[in-house]
Amino acid sequence: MSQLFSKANMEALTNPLNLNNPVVVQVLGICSALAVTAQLEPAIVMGLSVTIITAFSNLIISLIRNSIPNRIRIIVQLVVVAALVTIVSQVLKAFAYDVSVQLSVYVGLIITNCILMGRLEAFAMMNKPWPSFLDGIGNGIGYAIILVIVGFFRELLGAGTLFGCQVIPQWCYDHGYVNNGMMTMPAMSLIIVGIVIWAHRAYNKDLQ
Amino acid sequence: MAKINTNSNVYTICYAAIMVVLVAFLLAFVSSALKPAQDANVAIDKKSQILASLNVRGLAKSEVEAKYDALIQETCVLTPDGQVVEGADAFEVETKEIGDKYPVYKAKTADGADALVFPLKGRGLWGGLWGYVAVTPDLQKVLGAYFDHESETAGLGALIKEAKFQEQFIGRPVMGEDGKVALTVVKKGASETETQVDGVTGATLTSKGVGEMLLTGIQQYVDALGGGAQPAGECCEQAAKCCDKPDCKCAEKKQCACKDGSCGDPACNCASDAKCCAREECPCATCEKTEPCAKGECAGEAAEGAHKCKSGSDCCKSGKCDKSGSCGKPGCDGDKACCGHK
Repeated sequence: MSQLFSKANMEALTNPLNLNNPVVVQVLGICSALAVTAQLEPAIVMGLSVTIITAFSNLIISLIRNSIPNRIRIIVQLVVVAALVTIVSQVLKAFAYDVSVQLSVYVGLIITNCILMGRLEAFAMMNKPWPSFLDGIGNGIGYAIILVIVGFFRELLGAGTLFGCQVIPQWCYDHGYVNNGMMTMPAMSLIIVGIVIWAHRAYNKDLQ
Repeated sequence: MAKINTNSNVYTICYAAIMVVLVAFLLAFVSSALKPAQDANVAIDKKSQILASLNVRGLAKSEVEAKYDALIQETCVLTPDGQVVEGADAFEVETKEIGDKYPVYKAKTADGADALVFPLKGRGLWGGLWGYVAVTPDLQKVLGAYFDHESETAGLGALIKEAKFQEQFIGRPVMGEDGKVALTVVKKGASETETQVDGVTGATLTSKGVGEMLLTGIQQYVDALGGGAQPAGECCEQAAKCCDKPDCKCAEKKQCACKDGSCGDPACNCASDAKCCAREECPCATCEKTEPCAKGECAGEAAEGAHKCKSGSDCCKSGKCDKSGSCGKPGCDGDKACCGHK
């Protein structure tokens, strides 16, 4: 049991949350960070889905890593990810229809997310299943955190709402406050990601 | 275990072939095993969308079926020239088929008003749009609307799916001054008439798509339903509309399912058809309300000449004796009920 949560394994889980964050340090998965962060809710849904899919595709690839022919490994990884996403979305459609309607837009984005391929190639291909699974969870959550931060600011400043509920009081609008329409544009999420990277590096000197 | 060379060509090809076949079978199996459950979910989702256009929102999944059955009374499918497609189920018509077929739902709204629901389809910025618009049976007023989209931008175009946007449509007139459908969506703040609804800020193309869908979509239904002046088909909605029009030749409506008699027809049973009795061309010989009210039966003079009702009391309350002093009581001005006083 202590083996399962050894120091190396815990690092696989927690490193991606901060010092090896897939978005702000490795700068992966930026495209989907643009697409789904106009509001907080889809950002969280996307973060959770990526976490689950990364964890399980890492697990599967790690299980079969020794049998994969080197020359077609990327294709094999892609097939595994695509099959997994398709099956998950089919199951959701049958048993949790509302969630699947929300996710349908992101299915394509999950399959092509660079974080998945990055982790499969960099970690799952050369590590045992359990650490790979933890690494998948860690990277997924690391990605979700950034998405939530960006989504929080974009929805708050762009629409004055959080989770669709009005949080900026009418009083402010009456006194001349206006929502920043720029925030609803994808370009602003790049700028917010940039600011997050700046803050993160300013805090972690050894990343500079 | 013998060491296999995982980099040999044969191994690579076999591996790829087996993997593809396995995954294909897996996906096919999952897809067919889950199909019934998915179809049921899709049907419930469609029903709850139709209910949303009737202003019934936020139902739990288990309540949708019962509510749908309670509110939807009849459906029919029309061809573009207004013929009824025999044996077709409006609910089975898919969104992409709209344009060749026009499914119409006759329903009640949440507060009990009669409505016709028209499914619509259109194009947004990134993909398809669809929606359901509930209008009054005379096609003049919107009672409710529901819109949805395939892939509009979250936080912008996707807002058309929100109740806040859709509820703007309630109570809007459908037709413009020229008698054509004028209901549409314009840039926020630029609406000049009641038929122009505010769009979503920052989602110009999606808003335009919704506006275009309403303009052309509803017009197609109006044309298919004959705009009121064409010979009626068998569709009940058309009939009901036709019955309300004085210039509609009622002979053409005999076959239609106008439930409360076929107004103007000599065989019309006015006992069950109050509307029919109100019509001038309805021969009163066939009504049971034949004799005029005699003086003295009613408190007011104005009621004289109104049709006498079976019980004799209805005509006195016909609303015609609202003159002040008609019943000698002070404060009765405009009070119809007071006419019942002797």
